[in-house]
Amino acid sequence: MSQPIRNVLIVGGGTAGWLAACHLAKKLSSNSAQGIAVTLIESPKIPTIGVGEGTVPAMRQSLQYLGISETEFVRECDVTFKQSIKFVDWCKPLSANSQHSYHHLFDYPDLASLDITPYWLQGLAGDLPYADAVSVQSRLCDAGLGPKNMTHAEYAGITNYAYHLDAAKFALLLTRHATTKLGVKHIKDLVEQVLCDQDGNISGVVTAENGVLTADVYIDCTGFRALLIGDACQVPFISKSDVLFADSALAVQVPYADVNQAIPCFTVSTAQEAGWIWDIGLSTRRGTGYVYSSRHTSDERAEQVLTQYLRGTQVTGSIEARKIEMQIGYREKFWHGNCIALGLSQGFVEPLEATGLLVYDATARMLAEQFPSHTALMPALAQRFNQRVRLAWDRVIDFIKLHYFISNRDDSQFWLDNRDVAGCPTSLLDNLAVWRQQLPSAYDFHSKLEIFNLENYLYVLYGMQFPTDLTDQQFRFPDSAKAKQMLAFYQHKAQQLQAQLLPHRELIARIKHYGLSKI
Amino acid sequence: MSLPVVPLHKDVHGALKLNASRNLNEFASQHMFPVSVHEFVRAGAEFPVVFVKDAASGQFRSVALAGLMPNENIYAVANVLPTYLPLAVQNYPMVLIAEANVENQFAIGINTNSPLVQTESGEALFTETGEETTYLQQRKQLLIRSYEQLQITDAFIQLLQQLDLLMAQSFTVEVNGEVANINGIYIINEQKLNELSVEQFEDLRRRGFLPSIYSQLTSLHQLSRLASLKANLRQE
Ligand SMILES: Cc1cc2nc3c(=O)[nH]c(=O)nc-3n(C[C@H](O)[C@H](O)[C@H](O)COP(=O)(O)OP(=O)(O)OC[C@H]3O[C@@H](n4cnc5c(N)ncnc54)[C@H](O)[C@@H]3O)c2cc1C
Repeated sequence: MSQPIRNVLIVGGGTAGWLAACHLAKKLSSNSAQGIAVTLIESPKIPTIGVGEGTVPAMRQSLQYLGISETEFVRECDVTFKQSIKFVDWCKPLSANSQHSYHHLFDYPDLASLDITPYWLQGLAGDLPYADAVSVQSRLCDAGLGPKNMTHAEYAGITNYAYHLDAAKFALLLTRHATTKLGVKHIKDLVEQVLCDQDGNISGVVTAENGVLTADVYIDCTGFRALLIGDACQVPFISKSDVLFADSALAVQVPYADVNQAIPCFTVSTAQEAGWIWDIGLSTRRGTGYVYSSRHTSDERAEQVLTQYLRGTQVTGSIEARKIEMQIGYREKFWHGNCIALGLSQGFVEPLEATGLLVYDATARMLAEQFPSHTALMPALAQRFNQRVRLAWDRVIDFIKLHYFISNRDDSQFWLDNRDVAGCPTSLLDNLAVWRQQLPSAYDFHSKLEIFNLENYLYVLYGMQFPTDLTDQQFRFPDSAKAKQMLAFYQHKAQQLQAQLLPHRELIARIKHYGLSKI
Repeated sequence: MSLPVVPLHKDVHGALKLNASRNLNEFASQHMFPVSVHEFVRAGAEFPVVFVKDAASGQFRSVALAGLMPNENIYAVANVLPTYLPLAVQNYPMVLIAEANVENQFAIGINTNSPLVQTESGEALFTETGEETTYLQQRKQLLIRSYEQLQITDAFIQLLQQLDLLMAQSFTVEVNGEVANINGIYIINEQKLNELSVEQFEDLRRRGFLPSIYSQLTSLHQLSRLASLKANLRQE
């Protein structure tokens, strides 16, 4: 018999758990008597993963939607702005004594006016980097400037931006917001056992101090442990480590060399012999880590590589990195019976494009929007949810693989293996085959939960010199004059903006001091 | 206002005489003047009184507009005498200078480049024995009052923000058929004002802010007056 759904129990209080709690409570009016009750239980004994400091602009929309003040967020979570990921050494250098690098910007190219890409490919912009040809933002990034002025309201800016944040402090902010503003009930206790009925539904969780807790719907946010979806519901894990090799990380937080050191307004991702190093500047410290393939290198060697990188970036003190093992892949289902997995328990791929929080946030929002009113609706909704989330992960995997697969690096087995067709999803191979002779088009990206779009592909493909050959197609692109105008416009506009914008560190300091207004 | 300002000192400035500002002519390239909440009623009878954000801090300030775009002062160019001079202008060329690192400690500063500062005509600042004249003491009183009013104005603006009573508003003004957009201006949200709870409204009344609030709203009509002043200017 179909029952109305009245309450939800979220197990796990990492970033994913609290984001899910906020989205559900906001959409389901948990702070009113008629609303659906949302409870989150987390164990103080089991630490959160403690990394996850880079985000994408969707996070900005989410925080605003959830009613969180950007000023408070900046003040409390050591936040800095992120306008791009700068990829360093992902290709061989273009000339001797240089380093290859490119920006994957958050400002999308203005394709509606004119797609400059074919003109750029034909050499109209000389050797101007692709990102500089289609946007002002790379120049602003390189000049060390922030994305907004003090006169911009919260969540508004000149360029599109996301954040770097302290994961632990962010979870605390979300906790406070969820419990004081959105009506989420918070229990600090260990879940010792998960109970299932004969249909495979979860019937309760046994806690150390609060007895058995029951709910109509259970959300698994227990991280890599996957206590509910994995251990209890026995939903198999589909490994993708044959596509994405990086399965380990060494993470370390390091201080700035001095308190006035410039803070990059982008994440730096520097490719290494068996993976890559992330470098994220928060307001008070840097967060860095080496993500690598344990099949291609040893932990000792990885430590050497990380140390060498840090020494090269002004870090002098001792370096005590924490090792994190990563399960690469996703669950066969994300919604099973009355259990839904969000967060690392759902799936994970290496954090190259900061997709973790992005996917968890997007799926939490989708779940909140489509939350079943009655138990009878669950199977149909679950089926759609599973289909969409699976597709989203597959698309994410394609996009991450792209960064490796089209690289021309051949200096280690890791890079050689990455260029092997055997490890490349056919969906990506098919796309690349077309794009070798034709421009990528919006029609190549069609799903509703598309995490990365045409514009993201353009930045990566042409940041990495992907050879789309248009030589016999010139007649299709008669707008060189307009393309030239746009190139000149971006250059001029960037100069104008450089005079208006503050250095990133200064912007953050002023926001902390004065605050941003809501309007 | 235009620098340089130096601390006032009897040894250096003993012989100076000061004249009162009577118009805005000295500020030909300044299109807005800070006004305190206490001035809204009088300033609003002459100028549009609005809120803008300070570029360096993003903090709201209340200002009277004397032009429709940056660097434009219609009063100065047209040589029009306003019926009310903002206190900041009345004080000019004297200002308070905050002492570094000491809160609420100020020195008196003066811009000696101003044509209002003379040696022949005007009111003396110091007596021949180097004592402050009554005139200078009055001017100092005015400076301090103005400072106190700006403090209260900050609190007033804070309160408006807490009550969500400010909103961005762009204006379109037509001058001789040319349409100009004025952006970056914030005003009081009349609808939200009407929706305040009885307690919130009573609180505003009790604190004496209501006349200022209504003056701000009605002062917006002065925008069209500014536009026609500007139009007349063009035709001359
Ligand atoms: C190396 C690395 C780098 C990353 N970088 C990024 C990045 O740049 N950007 C990004 O978006 N994402 C990144 N991620 C992903 C990001 O860390 C996660 O998306 C995010 O932290 C969410 O984790 P979680 O909440 O699912 O799990 P966790 O943080 O592991 O939280 C698990 C929670 O479950 C609770 N729990 C577990 N078992 C029990 C139990 N039995 N009883 C009660 N409670 C229990 C724990 O107490 C904890 O609260 C990265 C991940 C890794 C591994």
